[in-house]
Formats: sequence, structure tokens, C-alpha cells
Amino acid sequence: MRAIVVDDSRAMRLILRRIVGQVGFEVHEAEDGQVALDLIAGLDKAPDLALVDWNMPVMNGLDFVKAARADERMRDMTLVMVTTESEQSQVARALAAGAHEYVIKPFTSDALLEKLGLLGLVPSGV
Amino acid sequence: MSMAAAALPTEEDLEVILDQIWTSYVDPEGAEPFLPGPSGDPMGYRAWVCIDGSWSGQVVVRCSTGQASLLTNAFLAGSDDEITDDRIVDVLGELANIVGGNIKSMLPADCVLSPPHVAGPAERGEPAPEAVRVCELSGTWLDEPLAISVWERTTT
Repeated sequence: MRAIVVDDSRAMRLILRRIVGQVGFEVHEAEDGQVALDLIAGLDKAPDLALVDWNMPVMNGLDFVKAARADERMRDMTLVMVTTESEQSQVARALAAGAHEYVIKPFTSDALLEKLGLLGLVPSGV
Repeated sequence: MSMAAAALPTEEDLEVILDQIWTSYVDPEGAEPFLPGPSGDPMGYRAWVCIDGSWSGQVVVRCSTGQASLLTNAFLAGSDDEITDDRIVDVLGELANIVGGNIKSMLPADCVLSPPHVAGPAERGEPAPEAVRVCELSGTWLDEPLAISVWERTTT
């Protein structure tokens, strides 16, 4: 399984890489949505999972989600927003744009893995 | 526009947010908790985010240079990264972003959060020069000072 972590904070990318890496994901990193789209375009197959921050320079997470949903190659990629944007209206916007799940910072490793488990991406009990 | 006092964030709110950050990223084992109390004026790094909308202000993180290195080391745990100024700026910016985002969620829905700004020890200037302090949480972690405060802008 492959994942891509899209966040402008290197520290947050590292934290997310560590969490999903320990349950077996091969992890790619991108510092904004455009870099992520370019990176995915160069892969033989789109990742199974994208963990996406909302507020980033160049291309934000919401625009990345919209672009991913519009691209046939990324049709099967699970999109999880990981962000400080916690208002219900923002959650609704992200889900309407095509995000599958929403995780609010700060999050624990267990909380993130539980969400991924509910999405069928991590065996339960991990 | 000023919000009703009851709706503004409090020191207790900051404690809850900080506790969640510590549990998530800084001290998952709970071995070295943040200790609230006087921190003096932790001159060193300042990181802040601006909130603009029907409520305007800033969320400011201040810490000593030693605390900045400790926090960066904690966030980067398990990596081979050296603690450089760039890494410190990244970590403190993300810390301000997380605290600010959680504060913003308590404010009117039209409020928006700026990208984080970080100033190092050699840089002068107050992040909130024309603002009144709404609340502050100060204390120490591993004997190094840290303070988080919320400021309401008094001019537009």
C-alpha cells in the first residue's frame, strides 16, 4: 500500500509518515497540492491513501481534493483531510469536495489509525 | 467587533489545547508534562498566527531558545534530522498553527487563519503591537519557559 502525505510542515509530514509507515505504507511526501499532483503523475499508480493538510501555499488541500476527484487515475485514492480547520462548515466543504474522512490537529497516532481502520486501510487492532 | 466575554477563549482552553498537543506529538507517554506557572518573559523565539474576521487578533507562542530546540527534537523524534534554525521555525510555526486553528474554531465562523510567522531571537518587533491580551498560559517544559497567549486587535 502507498500513501502520500501533503503538508507544508516538514515536522507534520514526518509525524504522519511515522504513523502510517509503521502499519506498512510506503510513504511519499509533498509540501503542497501541486507538488503532490506532479509527484502522483510520475508514479506508475496513484497512492491508495492521501493525507492532506488544508492550508498550504501554491495549492491548498481543498483544491487538491477537487483535482484528485476529477482525475480518473486517482479515482480509488482515499482522501483524508488532516487539518486545524475544525468548523462544521469546513468539514462539510471538504466532504462535499470528495474527501472521505476528516482528522483534526492535534491527533494521536491511535486516533488516526482508528479512522484509517474504519476506511478499511488498516487492519483492526493495529 | 468585540465578542461577548463569555465566548472568548480562556487560559483553561489553552491548557486543553496544549495538553492535546503534548499527548499527540511532544510527550505521548506522559512522562514530562508541561508545568503551568510563571515563566518570566521567555525571550527567544516567537511564533504567531493572525485571525481575521468579525473577531480579529493573534495567537502567539513564545519560548526560550532552549525550549525551541527541545520542542523541535520532540516533534522530530525518530528522525535523523539535525536541529537547525529551519527545523525550529517549521516546528514552532506548526505549533502556532495548531493552537491558532483550535482557537479559531471557538470564534465566529467567518474568521480566517493566516499562515504562521516565526521570529528568531535576533529579530525585533512585537507580533501583536496594538492588541489587548485575552488570555495566556505560561509555564515550563523540561525547565525551559513557554508561553501561549491570545490577543484581540484593538485597531483595524
